Amino acid sequence: MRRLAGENAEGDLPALLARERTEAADTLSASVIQRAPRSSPLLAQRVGQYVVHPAWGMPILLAMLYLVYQFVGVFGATVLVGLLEKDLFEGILNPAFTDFVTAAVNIPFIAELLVGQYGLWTMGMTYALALILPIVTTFFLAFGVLEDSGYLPRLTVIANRLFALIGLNGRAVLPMVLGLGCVTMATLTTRILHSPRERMITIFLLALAIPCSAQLGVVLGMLGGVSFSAVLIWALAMVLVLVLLLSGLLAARLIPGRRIPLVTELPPMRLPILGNVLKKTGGRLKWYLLEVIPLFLLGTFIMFALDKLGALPAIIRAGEPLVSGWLGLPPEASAAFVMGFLRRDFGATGLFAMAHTLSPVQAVVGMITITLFIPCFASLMMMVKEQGLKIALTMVAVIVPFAFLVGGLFNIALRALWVPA
Amino acid sequence: MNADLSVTNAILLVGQPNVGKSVLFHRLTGAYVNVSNYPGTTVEVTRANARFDHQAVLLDTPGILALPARSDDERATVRALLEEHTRCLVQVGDAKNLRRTLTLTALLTDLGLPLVLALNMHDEAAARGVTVDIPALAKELGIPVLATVATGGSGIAELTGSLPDARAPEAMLRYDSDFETDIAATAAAIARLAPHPHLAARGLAILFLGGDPEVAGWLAERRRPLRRPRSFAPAGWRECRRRSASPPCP
Amino acid sequence: MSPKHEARLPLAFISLGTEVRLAGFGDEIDPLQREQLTAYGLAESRSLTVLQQRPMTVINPAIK
Repeated sequence: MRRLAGENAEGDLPALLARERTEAADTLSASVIQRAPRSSPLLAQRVGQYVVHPAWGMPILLAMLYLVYQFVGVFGATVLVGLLEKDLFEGILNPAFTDFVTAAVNIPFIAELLVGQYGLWTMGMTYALALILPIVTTFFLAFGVLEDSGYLPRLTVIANRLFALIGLNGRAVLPMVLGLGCVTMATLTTRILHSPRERMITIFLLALAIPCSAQLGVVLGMLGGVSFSAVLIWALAMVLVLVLLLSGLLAARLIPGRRIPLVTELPPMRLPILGNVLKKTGGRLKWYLLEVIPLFLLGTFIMFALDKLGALPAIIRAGEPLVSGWLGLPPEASAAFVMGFLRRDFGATGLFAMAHTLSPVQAVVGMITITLFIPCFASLMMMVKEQGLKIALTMVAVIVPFAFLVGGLFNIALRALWVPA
Repeated sequence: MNADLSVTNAILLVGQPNVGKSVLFHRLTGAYVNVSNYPGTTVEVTRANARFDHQAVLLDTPGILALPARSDDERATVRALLEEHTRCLVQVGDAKNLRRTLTLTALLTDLGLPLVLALNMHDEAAARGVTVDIPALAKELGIPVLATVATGGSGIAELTGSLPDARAPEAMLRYDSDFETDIAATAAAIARLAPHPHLAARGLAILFLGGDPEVAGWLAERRRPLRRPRSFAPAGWRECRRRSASPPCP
Repeated sequence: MSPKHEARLPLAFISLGTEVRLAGFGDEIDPLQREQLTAYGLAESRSLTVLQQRPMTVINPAIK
């Protein structure tokens, strides 16, 4: 039977069978369809054409990105997070809960586990609810609107040329954009890509360089809080794009195979339906929270354990040459990197917490290095699921040293060249 | 999920990408799935209990552009077809793209499973001035055809109402006579050596000859315990091989 | 591919708004892509309209 299949493939039997089905379908559909002539193209069709227009397409995309940035980065990451974190959690909930716990729980160990410095509530839950939740919600809302309108396949058309440089076709833009929301989810979505090579490159880039929304929010919040906001943010963004392209180029060279040209269908555009968007966002949030909260709590617990065991100072000391010497950060930042191994936005928050002690250069270097880490334990598990243990570990083995390498290089370069305004 | 292996209680939603399978799935089960307006968002098979029949399990599959399967998500759908105890197939089609929908129907009718066609997004078709003569189509295909708008919820009741009475249709088309001979011979071999509890040998043969990797794998697996001496190899197989080695017809 | 003059051109060279008939896929196309294209409604001797060439070729497979 295998031989049979082998010969069939050479005789192009599959294509011929497919062709006959198409013809039968044609005949049948022609006999049952009636078309009323349309005088003018629908508005939706016009919009759909402009979006992929050679001249208009890019400006429209930039405008979209700006709108999303305003909504997620400014409204979500700054306004909402400010409200939730400072006013609600730090102002009201945490002190109240801390008082309650210290009064009600007799065992100091448990009390500290819950509300101490690495407390499950004070760190884990606060972080998950006050920081991540508003950012991720705004991102998923924005993404949902873009999705429902039919914009995203057109994005693949616009992105195709650019992505050709890194050995991918435009289709890969979809997992990457989704990765800006949640890299774990995006890694799963790479299944829409047709060749294993494309999937591998995309998963690698997702793990290395795509900051998920939570992290983006933390980075924006932190670098925005330093007063040279615009310049720093821009610098970081440029850096990331550069790193992304370079790593893509390298990856494209190293992994054998051909690039498949993009063939995609452009479904009609439409006005997003609010019900759809809310439903999608709700579902995604639910998925995200079920994934994230347990992990945060686990991460917090590990930090707590390390601290209690006295391992933390040891790790800080051990990391010193790397963290202080090479990256130029204060030794306490090691703790942030340890957290960064669990979830990089966790680590970013750790750096955020010590923002007032960091110089602008240190802030940028720290953020760059942390952004290049693997996104989180959940995404690592997804990588293993999609690519297998061996490849996933190889990717990690490349990514982590690379992150430190780039961070260190930027440390040297920035100290030498950059005089913050 | 099936306690009794012989009970067929799975209803599979299949169809091209972006036709609204996941929205329909949500309507029929209440379960959340990742719905979106771009093709290729469902990447895994999702299952949930059907709202309208507590015995039945509904499965949402990744969209298939065409069969045989090429990408991983398409293979997941074929795997579901092979492994599930399917009671009924619901093909979800795009009403404004009937031609493409029927190309898939052409293959599904050969699978020997009860089939229902839900022509979805028929509001968008109407907005484009496209009307489909549904009774005529249903008559030609020999299966229930419903117009639905899954996002709005219309046509759902009719759809669930048609499921209990669904029957396996006749094949939608006969291929070229040369192909038909090959198909028949392969089907006979499959029926003898690796019969599927629910899928018709003809459908499996067409998929296999079309080069579907999942079907090929499935058949190869089934064949191992049934290894027989050469004398058992049907003459039809060798006949098949000779035919297929000849150049394709113009 | 022009129905009038029977000339054969690569698709990328057809001017916007023209309706043409597909003469063939050519040998360079990946078999996987060929199936994709067929599934989208492209086949030999079937007509299609070219909507755009930059940044990518966008076509509308003709509906009968």
